Amino acid sequence: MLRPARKEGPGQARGRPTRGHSSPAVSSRGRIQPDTISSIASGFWRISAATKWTTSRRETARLLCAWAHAQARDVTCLIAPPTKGSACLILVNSLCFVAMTSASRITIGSPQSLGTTGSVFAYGDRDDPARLVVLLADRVLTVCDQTSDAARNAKLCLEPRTPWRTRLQCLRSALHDAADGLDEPFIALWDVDALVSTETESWDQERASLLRRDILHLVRDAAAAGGWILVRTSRTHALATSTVFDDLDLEREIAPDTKEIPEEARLFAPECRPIASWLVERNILRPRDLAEVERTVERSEEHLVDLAYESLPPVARNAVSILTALRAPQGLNGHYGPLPFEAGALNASARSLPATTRALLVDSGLIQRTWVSGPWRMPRIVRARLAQLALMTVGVELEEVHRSQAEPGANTDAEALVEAHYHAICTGDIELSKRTAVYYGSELSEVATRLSLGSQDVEELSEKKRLFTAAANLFHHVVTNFDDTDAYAWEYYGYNLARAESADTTEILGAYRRAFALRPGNPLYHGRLLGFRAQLGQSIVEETIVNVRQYALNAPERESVSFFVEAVMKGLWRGAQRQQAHKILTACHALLERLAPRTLQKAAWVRVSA
Amino acid sequence: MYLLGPGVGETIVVVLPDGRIVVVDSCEQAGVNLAASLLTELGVKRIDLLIVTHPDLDHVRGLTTLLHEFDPVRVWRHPFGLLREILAMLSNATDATHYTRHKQAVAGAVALDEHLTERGLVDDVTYGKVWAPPGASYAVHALAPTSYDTKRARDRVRGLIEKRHGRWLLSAHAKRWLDDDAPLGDLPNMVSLGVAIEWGQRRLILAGDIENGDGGPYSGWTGVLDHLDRGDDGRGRLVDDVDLIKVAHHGSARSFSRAAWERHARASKTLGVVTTYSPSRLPDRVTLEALRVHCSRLGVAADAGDAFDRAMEAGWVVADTGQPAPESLAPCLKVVFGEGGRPHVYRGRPAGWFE
Repeated sequence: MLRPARKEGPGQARGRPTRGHSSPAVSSRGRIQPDTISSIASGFWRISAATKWTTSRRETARLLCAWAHAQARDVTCLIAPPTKGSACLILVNSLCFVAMTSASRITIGSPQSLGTTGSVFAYGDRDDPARLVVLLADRVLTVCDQTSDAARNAKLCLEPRTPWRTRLQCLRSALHDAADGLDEPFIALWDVDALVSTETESWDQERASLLRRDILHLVRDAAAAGGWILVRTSRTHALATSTVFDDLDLEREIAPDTKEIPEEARLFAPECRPIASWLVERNILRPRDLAEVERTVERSEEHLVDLAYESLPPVARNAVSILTALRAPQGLNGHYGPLPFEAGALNASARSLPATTRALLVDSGLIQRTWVSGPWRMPRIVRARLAQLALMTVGVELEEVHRSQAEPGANTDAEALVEAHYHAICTGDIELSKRTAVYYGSELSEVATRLSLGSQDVEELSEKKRLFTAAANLFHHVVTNFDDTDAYAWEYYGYNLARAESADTTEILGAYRRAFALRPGNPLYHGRLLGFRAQLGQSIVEETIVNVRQYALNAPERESVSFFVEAVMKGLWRGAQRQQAHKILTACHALLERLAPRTLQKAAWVRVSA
Repeated sequence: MYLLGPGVGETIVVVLPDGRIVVVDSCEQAGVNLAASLLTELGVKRIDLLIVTHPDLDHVRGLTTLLHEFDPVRVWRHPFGLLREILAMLSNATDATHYTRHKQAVAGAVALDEHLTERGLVDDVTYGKVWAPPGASYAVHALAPTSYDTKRARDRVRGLIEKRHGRWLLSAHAKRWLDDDAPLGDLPNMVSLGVAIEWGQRRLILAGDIENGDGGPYSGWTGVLDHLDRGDDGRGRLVDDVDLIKVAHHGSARSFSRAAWERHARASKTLGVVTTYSPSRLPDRVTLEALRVHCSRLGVAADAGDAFDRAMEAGWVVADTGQPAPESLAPCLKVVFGEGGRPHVYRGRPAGWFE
């Protein structure tokens, strides 16, 4: 596709001027004058940006023609057949320009074969954004010239200190450049629907959904430019996934099912069909029951997973529960990944699985092949549904599996390293988690958060302080060794230092200030900053009143006012600033009554004093 | 068909035309398993189909006796997976001594589950399951629960644990339930099996504790009717013009579905039988009044408490069955169906018979 000429040199937008009429047979491998292509491409991208890719390629072409006509005489624009990639033929003053990349496509179900296309999996887990940036960058490095800009950008994505925004920009460039040089798709992103955020965006939890949104947009844009296979094996119910991908003007293919299944099983997502089919084979449901389930049961695929799980004998239930610890595709040849199937084993453990369970796990569809002769994996919907229960039923075994897998051993490829880190995070072991954090620190924040929240379970003050201090130290580790633009880590570094009653108030205030500067729209961060200033005795009345009104206008539906003012009030209470609190409550009473009634209820201490 | 109900508990024994035996649920009175006692009196050695409608104690007490002494050929059970989940949660509850009673109870249920599962005897049944022995002139059809209610119940169970501080723990409600401070509500009844037995033109409905559900189109009785009428196999007939109905959930107003009853007694009033549940004063008066619209006769199998008084307050009049009392010691109603004509009813001494 014609691109803006971001920089000069190999790997940028391609095309070849020819004289005469354009033809789809024109080679896509030529070069054109940079200034000409830059001019055309910038116009093209203006149009693309304006339409936000919500229009079809044909509509984009129409807009492009209109633009080109406005810029020069004698302009013709032709669009190559969509199946041939993102190709564009443009005639400007009898010069024909051709730009082309390998088409992206959406595959519904598991492709039979991927050829040389590398696979990257989305899991729907919290670490998807950070993990995928690393794995996609790693994929770029495997296909491009190591001295190219694409490689340089990809390597930057792997640097632990590279800020998130920079990573995204670098990856975006790297992916575009890598796609330029290839005739075949180079990335298959599996279960792309897992990237759709399912989390509610409360102000204290917004980080996860923001990162997820970022990576989803990046994938969409990169796929639109070519070189991708987006594999859709499951669906995400929280949002209308169709609107996320269906407006991408990509070729679509429906992969055949790997075995004969009842027609009614096709009502479900591809990953769920083997499960539905097995339920019928086992006489647990009739084919017509599948249709009834689909018609009447909300999140019907979860229901089928539950039925399959519940239909297994206890030993197999334990086995599949333990396997929820392993999310990456695994070999299945006497072992499932690290766990051997042993003939003599009577029950599933963290070290082996009974041989009798292997066939059951496969037949039931709870473990499935990724593609023909490819590795095996537990579908996302299965893992998501069973993992919660597994923590209750085989928690000890899960911990042991995670611990055993937290050391990557001799395998130092990016995927092995990020997976080892994932397992380390699951153990909650601080040192192990720090040691395995090679590329990013965002998951360490999760361990720190658990420490901080764990303080609520303990009575003894010194133990509380110990936990807060440990959490603060870990957040500090994140911002000093990884992304120093991580607003969440700065915020909770300050918060935990404050809860640990650190005497270093300058450090606390600095952390709060940094968090708010990085994420100025977050009323919780803002409220904590003002609250801490109040705790230090500073006057915050006017500033608070102005901002209460501002938040009431900006995002009242997200409880901005509550988050903001409650954090402020806590600071005032800690600093015994009753006068200030009274003034704020008096000035904002009507607004608070409407938008933050809980805050008013909690403010008895102010009224008593007043 | 024998309906036994001691006041707290319910069990039904059906002797089919070819002599096969169906038993629905299990209950005890003064330590005696009523179904086992009756089966022994009848000289029965083996149960052909044992149906466990739902996991409430008044329907499962003494179940192991039936399993051990009458070696059922097959067992239909309510969806059990969600109960397993409760058991899993209980076995991991942190306050071990406090929940010992629950742990012991569930350990028994788990052992039974494993025993049945290993022997391949048990089917977890939802709407649509049919048992029709080869050559038999009858069939037993599962009417409930619907998949919708099964999922609803499972989601409710999952709500008993919640994620706190990165860990999954018992919810406050679950703890209150374990402390006996809060009920589980309608959870067990959500998954209650109900069956229809069809024999020629005869139709019996043994409705377990099916309730009206959440009011949605696929839940409770509404869901049952939706499913029956949707198929092209004419299964809707199973609830139309029924000869006898074991009233759902001891005659609770939560289980009375006007739409269903209008179909049960479309051409003419039908015969209703009900067991009492004394602690909740079931059947309740509202249901007893409503049943008068649809039932010509009503049997109450009970060591009655004040249930007979409520029936009479609702307008029912004590009647004579015209048959001698059955031999059983249990509070029991016995209804015998021939190929046609009115069924013969036998009333055990503590039971009530009304017109």
